Amino acid sequence: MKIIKLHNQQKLLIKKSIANNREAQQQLFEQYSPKMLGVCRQYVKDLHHAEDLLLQGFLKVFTNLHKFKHEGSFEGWIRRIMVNTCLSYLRKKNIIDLSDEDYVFNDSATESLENTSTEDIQKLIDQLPEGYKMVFNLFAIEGYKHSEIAKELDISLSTSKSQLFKARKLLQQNYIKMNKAVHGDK
Amino acid sequence: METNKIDKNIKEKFANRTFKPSASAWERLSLQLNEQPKTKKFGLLFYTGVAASILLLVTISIQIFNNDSDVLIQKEVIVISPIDKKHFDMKIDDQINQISFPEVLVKNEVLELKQEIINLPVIINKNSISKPDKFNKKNLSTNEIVGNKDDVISNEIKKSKEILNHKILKQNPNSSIKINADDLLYAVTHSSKEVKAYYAKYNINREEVLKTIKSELKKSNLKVNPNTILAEVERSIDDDFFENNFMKGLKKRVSDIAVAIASRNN
Repeated sequence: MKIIKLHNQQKLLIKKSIANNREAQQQLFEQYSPKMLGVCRQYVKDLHHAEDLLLQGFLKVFTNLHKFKHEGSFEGWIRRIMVNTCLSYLRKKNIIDLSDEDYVFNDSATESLENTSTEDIQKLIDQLPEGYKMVFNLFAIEGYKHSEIAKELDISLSTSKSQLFKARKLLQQNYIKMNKAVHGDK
Repeated sequence: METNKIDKNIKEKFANRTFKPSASAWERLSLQLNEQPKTKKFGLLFYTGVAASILLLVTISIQIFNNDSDVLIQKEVIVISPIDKKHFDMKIDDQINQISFPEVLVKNEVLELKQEIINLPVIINKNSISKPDKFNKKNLSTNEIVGNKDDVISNEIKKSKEILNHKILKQNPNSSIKINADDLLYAVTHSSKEVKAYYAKYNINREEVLKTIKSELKKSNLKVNPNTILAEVERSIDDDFFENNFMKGLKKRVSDIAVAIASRNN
């Protein structure tokens, strides 16, 4: 009953927001913006910069709200808009480097990331080259398929796969480095 | 498995990660939203205006093409200009006056023939000859024939009347006829009725007119038949020339005619 009530409330808010009701729009913004800012932060290191992308994304959300058919998750719909906004920005800035570069991987990294904090993981991800980071974020966090990533970033399917593989390896390598730095070289 | 495990761990950690936006975030977004609908409204109005203009043009075009025939047909403009009746009447009268009346001559021939036959003098009352009606020749009056009242010749006169009625005779170049000058004058000018009506209308005496002409001719020291002048005057009796003051116009007319005749003689 509570879920249905929440769903109806959300529907009403969406309806009012389509009619350009500012209060309803503010409510939706306050409800989803913290999580969506986290999404934007995955792609952009600077939080202020991420907030700019968040506002751009919400502007698209409100101007295209009438296109939402209530068929899937509203949060998923907003999240996808945020990711696309970030990708569009990175593409325009030519930040994404998807060229195949050779990295020296250290396959001895077996330690799990379970005990590592989110902030530390974010730092490890931030250290990845933009291309790797992009594919890793889309695949590992957003759950995109390689075909979707290839289409979204205008790259081949094999490039998407190799970028993901290299991203993982580098992430492990950096994680080992970070651990060594924290705990000392034993 | 190792790599998948890493992915899974990271996804779980990031799934519910949140950051609090700055205090001014909503204000900034609200400003952007305020600008957004304005442009949309303007766009909507603009396209509505364009559509309405096109519709209006199409409607006007259809109206114009449908009423094309009506536009091409121009209304007839009837200009009514006054007709100078007097001018036309004068022209008609001139034309009619030029028409000869052979019937009159034929009758004269008959009379001449009759003279030869009965060998008696025949006098035709000239006064009885009237100008023929312009449109009805039947109104020609039969001449009264006054002859010797001798019974012996009365039968001959009757015979001559019959011949007059039935025979068509050839014109004799030696034949002659005496006609009243006044009647002849009327015949070549206006009808006596017309002239008399004119005189009556303006309370003019014809004899006075003739006297005036004579006196004017004396003044100009010219020898011109006053009847000729009178004929000319009566021919142009309808002119504006005489309209205001007939006698004054008459004197001027006489003077003009006299001068013209004098110039011609010179």
